[in-house]
Amino acid sequence: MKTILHFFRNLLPASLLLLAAGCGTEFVNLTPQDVIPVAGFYKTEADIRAALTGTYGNLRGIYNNFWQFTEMPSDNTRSFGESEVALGEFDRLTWRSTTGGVSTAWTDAYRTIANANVVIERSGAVTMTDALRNQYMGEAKFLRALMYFNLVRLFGDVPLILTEIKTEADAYTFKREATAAVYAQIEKDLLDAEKVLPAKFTGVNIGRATSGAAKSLLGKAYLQQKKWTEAAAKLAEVIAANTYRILPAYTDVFGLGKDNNDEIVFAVQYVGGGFGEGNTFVHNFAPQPSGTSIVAVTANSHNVGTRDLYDAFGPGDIRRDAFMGIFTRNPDVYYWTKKFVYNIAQQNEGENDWPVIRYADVVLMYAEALNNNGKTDAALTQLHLTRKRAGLPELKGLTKADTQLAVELERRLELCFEGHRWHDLIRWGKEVSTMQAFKAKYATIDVLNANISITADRKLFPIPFRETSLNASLVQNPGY
Amino acid sequence: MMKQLRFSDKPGGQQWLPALLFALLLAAPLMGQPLASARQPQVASNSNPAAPVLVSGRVTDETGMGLPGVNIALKGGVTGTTSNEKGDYQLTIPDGQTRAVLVFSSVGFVAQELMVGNRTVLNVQLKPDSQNLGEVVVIGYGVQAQKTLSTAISKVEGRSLALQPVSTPGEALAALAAGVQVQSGRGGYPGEAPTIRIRGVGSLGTNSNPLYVVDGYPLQDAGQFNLINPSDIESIEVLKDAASAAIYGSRAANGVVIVTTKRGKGGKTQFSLSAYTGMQQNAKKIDVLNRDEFFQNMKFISRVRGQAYPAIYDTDPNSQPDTDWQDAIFRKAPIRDFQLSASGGSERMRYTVSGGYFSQDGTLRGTSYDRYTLRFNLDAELSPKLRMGVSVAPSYASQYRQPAGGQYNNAAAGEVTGARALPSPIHSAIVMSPAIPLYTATGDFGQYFDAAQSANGSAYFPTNHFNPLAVLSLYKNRVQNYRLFGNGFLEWEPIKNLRLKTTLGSTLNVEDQYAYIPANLANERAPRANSANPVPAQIFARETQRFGVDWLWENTATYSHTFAEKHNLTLLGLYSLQKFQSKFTGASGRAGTFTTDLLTNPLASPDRVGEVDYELNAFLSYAGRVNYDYRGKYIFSAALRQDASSRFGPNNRFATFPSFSGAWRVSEEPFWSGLRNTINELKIRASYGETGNANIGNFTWLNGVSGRNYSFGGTRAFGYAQAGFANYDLTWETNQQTDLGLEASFLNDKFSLSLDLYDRQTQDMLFQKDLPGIVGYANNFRTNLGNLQNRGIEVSAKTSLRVGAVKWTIDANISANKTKVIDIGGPQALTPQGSVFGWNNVYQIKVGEQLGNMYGYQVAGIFKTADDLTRYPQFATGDKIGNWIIKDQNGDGKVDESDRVIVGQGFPKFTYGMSHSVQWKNIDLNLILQGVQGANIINGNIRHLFANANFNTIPLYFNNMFDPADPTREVAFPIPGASGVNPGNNLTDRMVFNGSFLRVRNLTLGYTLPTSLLQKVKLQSARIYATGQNLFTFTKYPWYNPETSLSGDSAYQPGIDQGTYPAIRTFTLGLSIGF
Repeated sequence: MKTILHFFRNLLPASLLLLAAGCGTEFVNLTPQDVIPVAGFYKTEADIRAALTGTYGNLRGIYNNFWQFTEMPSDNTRSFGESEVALGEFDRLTWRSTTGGVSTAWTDAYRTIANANVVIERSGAVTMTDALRNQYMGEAKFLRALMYFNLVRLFGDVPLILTEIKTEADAYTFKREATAAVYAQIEKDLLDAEKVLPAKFTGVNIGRATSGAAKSLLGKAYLQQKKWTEAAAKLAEVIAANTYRILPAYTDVFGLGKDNNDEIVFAVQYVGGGFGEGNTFVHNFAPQPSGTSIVAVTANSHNVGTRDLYDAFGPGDIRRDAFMGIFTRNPDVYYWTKKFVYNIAQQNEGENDWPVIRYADVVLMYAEALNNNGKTDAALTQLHLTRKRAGLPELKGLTKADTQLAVELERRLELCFEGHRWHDLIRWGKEVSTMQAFKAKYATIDVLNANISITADRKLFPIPFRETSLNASLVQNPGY
Repeated sequence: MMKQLRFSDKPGGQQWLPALLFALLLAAPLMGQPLASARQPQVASNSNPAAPVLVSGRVTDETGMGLPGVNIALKGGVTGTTSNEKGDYQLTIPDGQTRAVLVFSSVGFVAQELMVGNRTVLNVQLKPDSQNLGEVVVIGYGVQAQKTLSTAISKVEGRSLALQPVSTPGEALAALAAGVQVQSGRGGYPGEAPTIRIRGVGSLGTNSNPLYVVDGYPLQDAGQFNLINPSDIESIEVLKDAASAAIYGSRAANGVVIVTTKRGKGGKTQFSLSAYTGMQQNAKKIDVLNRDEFFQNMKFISRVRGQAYPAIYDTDPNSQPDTDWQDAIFRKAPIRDFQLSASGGSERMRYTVSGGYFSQDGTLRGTSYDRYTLRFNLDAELSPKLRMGVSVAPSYASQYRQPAGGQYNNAAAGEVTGARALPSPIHSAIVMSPAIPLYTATGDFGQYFDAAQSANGSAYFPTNHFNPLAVLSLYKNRVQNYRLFGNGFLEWEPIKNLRLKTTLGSTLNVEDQYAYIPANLANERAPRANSANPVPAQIFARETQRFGVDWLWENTATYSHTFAEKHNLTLLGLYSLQKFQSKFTGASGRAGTFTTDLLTNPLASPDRVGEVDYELNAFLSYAGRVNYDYRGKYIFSAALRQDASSRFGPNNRFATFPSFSGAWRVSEEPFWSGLRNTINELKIRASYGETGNANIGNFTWLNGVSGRNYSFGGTRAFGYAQAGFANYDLTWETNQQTDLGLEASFLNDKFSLSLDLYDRQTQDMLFQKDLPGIVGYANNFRTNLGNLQNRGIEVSAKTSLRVGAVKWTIDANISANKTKVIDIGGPQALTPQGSVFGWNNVYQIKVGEQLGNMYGYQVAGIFKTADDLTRYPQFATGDKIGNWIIKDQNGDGKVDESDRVIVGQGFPKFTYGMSHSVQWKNIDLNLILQGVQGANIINGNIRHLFANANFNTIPLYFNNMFDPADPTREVAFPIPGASGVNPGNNLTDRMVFNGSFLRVRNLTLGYTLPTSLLQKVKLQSARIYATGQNLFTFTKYPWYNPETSLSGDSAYQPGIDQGTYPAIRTFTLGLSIGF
């Protein structure tokens, strides 16, 4: 009742007098109570820091689904049941420009870029220490580079947005830029970032992009372009900095409570506890029919490992049982992704992080670069760092070609489920041959594999239908 | 300016106003009496005290037919009554009759005064008013005779609404007015408002709800219309064309529904009591397989797929449960309604007070609706030049909800509060295996994991599938609505013919919602939960409140004058302000933090989460209207309204809405005189007007930053990111509507006909326009673009027949509307929308096409042989024997996305309604028929029923799937596990059904007790009646309700059914007495 009276007391007399005073237009010029207007924001150091945090915040959603584009198309994983309805197109390489996730991948990446652009563009006018400004801009550039690296691998030539788009008309002025130009921007941003970012963060800053992360990502970008010399040099810098190490056991690297360990170069940070900021991949990866035996909530059978991956682990490789679990429901056998799954009690509230770059990846990338530079023995030395932990013997005296094959297998096994396989295959030019072999081998075992469709065009996803239909100047990729 | 005038800053300032208002509210019911009694001595002084005398009689029209509703008042006194349905009346004259004069008056008739003298029986025949313009209709800010209307307005009498046992006035409107489509999208959900559309879908970017105006008060929220007690409604006028609606300007684009509540007519206090009570049941039950058929189906699918099924299904099938899940979740449920009203007053002070209680239990267990309403209307003449009126209507409603629409494991968004997913029990009841026990031996709700089904390697155990009765029994979701509507006016006539009126009103609305999911309710987050194994971490408790205040101050000046006895002129000026403000607050326990359900609210969690949200908007309006007619023959009307609203960008906040209409009553011309005996009325009218739509929420023109968090070092970090794209130019969506009408009455109004043709163009649609993804921080923004066209025809006819002693009135209407997309601001098509999960890209809005088209594949047969595989085009990824053959529409030799064609249309071609009212002696019969023709429904209920051995299914699929062991048998559905296009993954024409129906919506049989009998028990009138609501529905649609709409009032996805609430059939017995 008090509130009612309060309203009356405020509103009625006020309005009567307003009218009496004859200020009509004022009556409809209201200030919202539920909006923090953009016009008043980005003025202080705290605003810029919050804007940068908001930029990082996008990574959660992006890497919750990253496996759709980087694991599902490959021979590493598959889907079952309802998941097959939702994700079958990624599994069988029959995605189209209208496939849901394709559009999301595009818009999520550009949202992060837009948020990063705000930090980069507006930091200059805000009063703060140069150290902080450099750090914030460096982090923003790292995030922008990471997004363009994802975009250029998924879609090829993409529009380069480096400033805020402020009007609708602006949004139509951008065209697809050549892959080389996109990579050039990635390299530029990362070279800028590595100069200003610290080697390590502590306490409540752990998880921010470091110089090591920038260098590693740059190395990864060089490698994907087959710039072997630059890649080897940059990755050598990461190794020489001695910031990261291969941990002795897999249980130190993956699982609940192991986040941000010494092997993590850059990981997407998730936090459980009912804030809506946890990961979704834990229950998504568990087999749906497992009931409560693997996760305490209903699972989804997304991104389940293949028999082919399971069998690829050689004798004595302890990673097979560390990374994969078996759940059988007649007639289906699920080689589920134990690497990421723990007994979670809440959907969408997974606590463990997603490793974007792990030191094992750095080491294996370095090995690949070295081998391609003709330093095969040095490459094998690097390769042994991860093989040793897996309980495998050291490889010696292999030819360059065999070393390449060994690196390829090692990357598949060590980094399985982590979102590297599909673009590795593309770098090696083996995505078609691998998937054709996979289809030939498994089509009779599982009828769904008979529907895999693989052509060279599949190495790029189509520009989302939404985007080409909004902007006709975005020419579609071949084959779509 | 605003800051300086804020009164809250002054302690104790202006407290008299609320006090006065509340005093008025409280005193209002008492006011009629003291004032009335104050007048009595005057009467007494003029007459000798004498004993009261009862006078009775019958009022008839010139044909001798009884006239109901005639006011009979004692001249100069306070006594009065109205005639009953047969024209009979009785009136006690308090001080003897000798000098008493009775005044008989009724709209459309010449009032008569009769000296009572010594008579105790006074029969009166009233003559029609020579100036008779017949029925009066309520237009915006005034009333007008039906015959001098130049616009398209449909009137529905309150009586037609009150006779139906339904929970909302909206539902009762179905079939009663041409051009008004009422779709009870969620079926018989108690207390749920239907979707009401007037002349089609007017907008793609926002909703197409009409504006509701109750006793002159434009409602902020369409939902509040449905809190009105249907029995309190005197009439509903639907302003359909833009010319009639334009006086409501910026909010009238989708038509205006004007509700007028009953007001006192004066005279002696008349009490009326009415009550009905009855039972409801589902109008239909779906035929699903019983246990033995289910086992047979399971074995067939297992055989084809090469899986083993639980051995007990062979060895001892009878040991297994045979649960009828529909019987478990549905019930017969009572419905009741009680009304008590009193009405009376003096010539100068009239009032009506009514109280009502309505209670409906849902046929789906766990659902119910209870509503308590009170309404007080008072009109008083304070002096010959000053009038006032007050309306106060408090109400309280309580609704218990359950998730209905949506999928077995995931009820549709909005069905469950707080974004928690729960199973849809209605869908679950269909797909649940009958071999699952309803209850376990220990009394827990039976689940798949309790059954033999899950024993054998779990292949027949869908883990995301839960006992629907558990949901209905354990989940709590209650919405309580407290509303106080108050409105008062003062009208002053400073000089003759000029009336100045000021109206002040407000609506207070509190919506309180409480939801609770206990630890023992199995759902996706706690799949094994039951009483033996509660999962406290998955408890969910949330309490929310929305407190809204809306106030309106309206000022009108009306001048009417007849010049030279032939020029009738009415001028109206309006100045109005309306402001709405609301606050939403809520609290819930953080997910995962509950440890006990000893306390069933958010306090049981040690970690609570708060929510808050605000809404604010204001409208400022000026309007003017001219109504002119020359001898009631040439009629012209024009209106202009200017509105400003905070909802629009600062650059375009004002908008102006003009309208014009004209009519020619051909039948008033001298040359018509010869025809007048046949066609007594012929009117041709035309109108054009512009109206606006502002249903876009508040401040959508502005962009802000919103929270987006991350975590560093395991600690949450709070961040912000831009959200939304500012549009300072955002403005009204405009409807330009042209209407041509013809009205004719034959044989002295025995038969009348009205015809309307309209063309409605929505310009500058309020549209959520997509932005290229590269913009990043916004995917779309609110802007004005495009053009949508609605064209249609409406025909209404009415006839009053008299066959002997039988009086028979028939009202019929039919309307057809077509919504076409003319322009969507550049692109030729919008992003396709799915229907239900798994059936994607079904709806697509395309330029030049009709709204509501459904796209899917056409099934042409089944690949039965290897030969067939070469003969017919295959799906892009290849086909196999047993798969469906899909028609290769473009003849490119393969079946892919481009072979989708239109397989249905979600909006009806036409709708129609007919009501009959028959009276014979004391017996009356009412019948309302409702029809919808040419709409299709996508039956999403049956998607999961295809070829899942662990789900139950329906006879449609049973023994009707391709069997590799018997390949030549004619079957309609592909092999279990089919690839290519199959019922599970793509929409085909086999899943689209004809949704046309004809429904016997209401049949009421009543008996009015004879006056002679009533006099003995001192009653004025008494009627008993029996009603059947939704008695029969003639339809080919095979599911619960052909009126279904899973996506509510969506313009994008009309005509989907999945787990929507069944239509209910209601039988009631009622009684109404007057005393």
